[in-house]
Amino acid sequence: MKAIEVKKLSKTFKSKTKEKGLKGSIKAIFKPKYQEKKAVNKISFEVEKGEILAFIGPNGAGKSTTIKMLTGILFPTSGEISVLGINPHKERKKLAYKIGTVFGQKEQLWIHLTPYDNFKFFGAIYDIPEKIVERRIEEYKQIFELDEFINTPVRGLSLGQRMICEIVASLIHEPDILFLDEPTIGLDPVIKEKIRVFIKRLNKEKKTTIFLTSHDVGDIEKLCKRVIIVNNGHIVLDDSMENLKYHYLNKKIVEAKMNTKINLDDVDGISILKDKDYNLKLEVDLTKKSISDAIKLLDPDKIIDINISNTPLETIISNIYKETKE
Amino acid sequence: MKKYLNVAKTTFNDSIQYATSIIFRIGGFTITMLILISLWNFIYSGNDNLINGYSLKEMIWYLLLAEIITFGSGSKVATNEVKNCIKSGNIAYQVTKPYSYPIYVIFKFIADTFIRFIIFLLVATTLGLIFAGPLETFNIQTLIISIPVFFLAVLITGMTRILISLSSFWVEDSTPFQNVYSKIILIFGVFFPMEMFPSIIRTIVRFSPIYGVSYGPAKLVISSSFTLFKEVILSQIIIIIVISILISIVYRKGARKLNVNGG
Repeated sequence: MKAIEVKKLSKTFKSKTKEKGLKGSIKAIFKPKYQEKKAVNKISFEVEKGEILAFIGPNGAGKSTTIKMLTGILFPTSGEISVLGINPHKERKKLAYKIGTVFGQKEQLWIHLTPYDNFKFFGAIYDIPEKIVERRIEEYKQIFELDEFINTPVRGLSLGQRMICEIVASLIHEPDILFLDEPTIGLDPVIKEKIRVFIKRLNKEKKTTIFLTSHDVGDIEKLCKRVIIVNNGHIVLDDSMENLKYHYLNKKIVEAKMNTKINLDDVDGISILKDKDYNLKLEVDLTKKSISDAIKLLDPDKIIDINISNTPLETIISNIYKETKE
Repeated sequence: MKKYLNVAKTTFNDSIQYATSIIFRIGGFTITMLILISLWNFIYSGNDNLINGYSLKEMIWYLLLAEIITFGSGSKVATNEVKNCIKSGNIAYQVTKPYSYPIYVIFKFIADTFIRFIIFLLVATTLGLIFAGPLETFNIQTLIISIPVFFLAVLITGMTRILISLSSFWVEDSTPFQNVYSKIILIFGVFFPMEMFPSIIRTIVRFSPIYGVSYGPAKLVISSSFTLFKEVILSQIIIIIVISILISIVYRKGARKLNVNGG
């Protein structure tokens, strides 16, 4: 059964523009000019119940706009949306009982109150009997090890602790779909991992459908079986994680600072992206060579500093673009 | 309804955390009141007569009672909080909750105002008893009929503030509109009773929210008139209905054009 169905969904924003300088500012007061931007342009997709879907793309791609239309926050300019058989804009309140939302850059908690008081409040908002709320708080307390800070006012919590509480607050009514908009933004690797493990467990045990937007390739790799990539309001790719990994996430970038100048040539599976003075940037194709092969090639004794990273999402998208055009 | 009562309960719990800041506001309120009481004393000096039907004692009590509503309902929930919620995009969370955002804010406002209002009421009553003396006409009936009128006056103030804050869907900053509203209430409702103004302004005040939020409640306590009670409460109910409709229309239109940052 479908959890989400989207057909030819579009959203156009109208924003004010201003010419440069003081003259432009004055002119804008008396004769404002507007420009239209298509944030989402006729996209269509479906999400099955119980699926974990990654909805990714660079800044300004239309990810957040889409998530906000699916949750009933923004009104679409055109197109159709059905979330659990409900039209988010006509039955916003009905949908609210069935979905949970976490926006990584927004806050819903009462900062002067403790996480415990916050969870009790959200439980009451969703008309959940007190006993059940208590049971769920206890359950989440164990999973996230909330003991340490459940009675500390939210204003005194770290960013990671706050984000965990934001997630728990969004789950207190056990929604059928959880929308996560950049949930791990700005968090340290330990908290990120904790959140990922929990999301996976939630999906497995409670069959919660997860709709995730993230910039973090790690989130996507570890959580999702299917990926939709958007750019400039269009869907660029809708494929399984397996395929995406095989074709695009099988490369690592190795940046090294050397103590002496070394001359390298491309070898099968390792290509030189940059070679300037003592700095080298290599791309390693993990299907052919390993990271240790690349380090051996550089000569470990000559390395002063090294950084290994994933291929940036932007590069992956531009590669996909190139391929779809060819 | 139960969930809105929970909103009020949680807000009350939240507002206790920073109750000490109200104590500092009392200082500001007391100084303002002392200056205004001195001014009225000066205006009435050497003059035992009434000014526009008000004795000095009645004038001081009018001022104090009208000012309690203004200071007592100065909660930031209806002003800065709504404005910031819309501007920062945090309203996204509110929209996805199973409640009506305007009703949620109204209950939050009432709960946040409760302690503040009681404190200002106690301070103003003390100042009135010291500088003007007890009102001879005040009795238990006045007390009973004043409670709903003062409650509705605070409610109207909050709802008007919320309505103004909802303009943040369209304008960059709703604060100037809030300031204009405050000044109008102060001049035409708090500092001077409407009998002090020319007939045209009196008529405007009579049919504006000022009547329900400052003149009506303050005059009711001074006059202890049941006829005035009926007039004031009727006008307050009409104002509440009108503002509720306006809030509903403005919020619905605003939500449609919502442009949350980052999408």
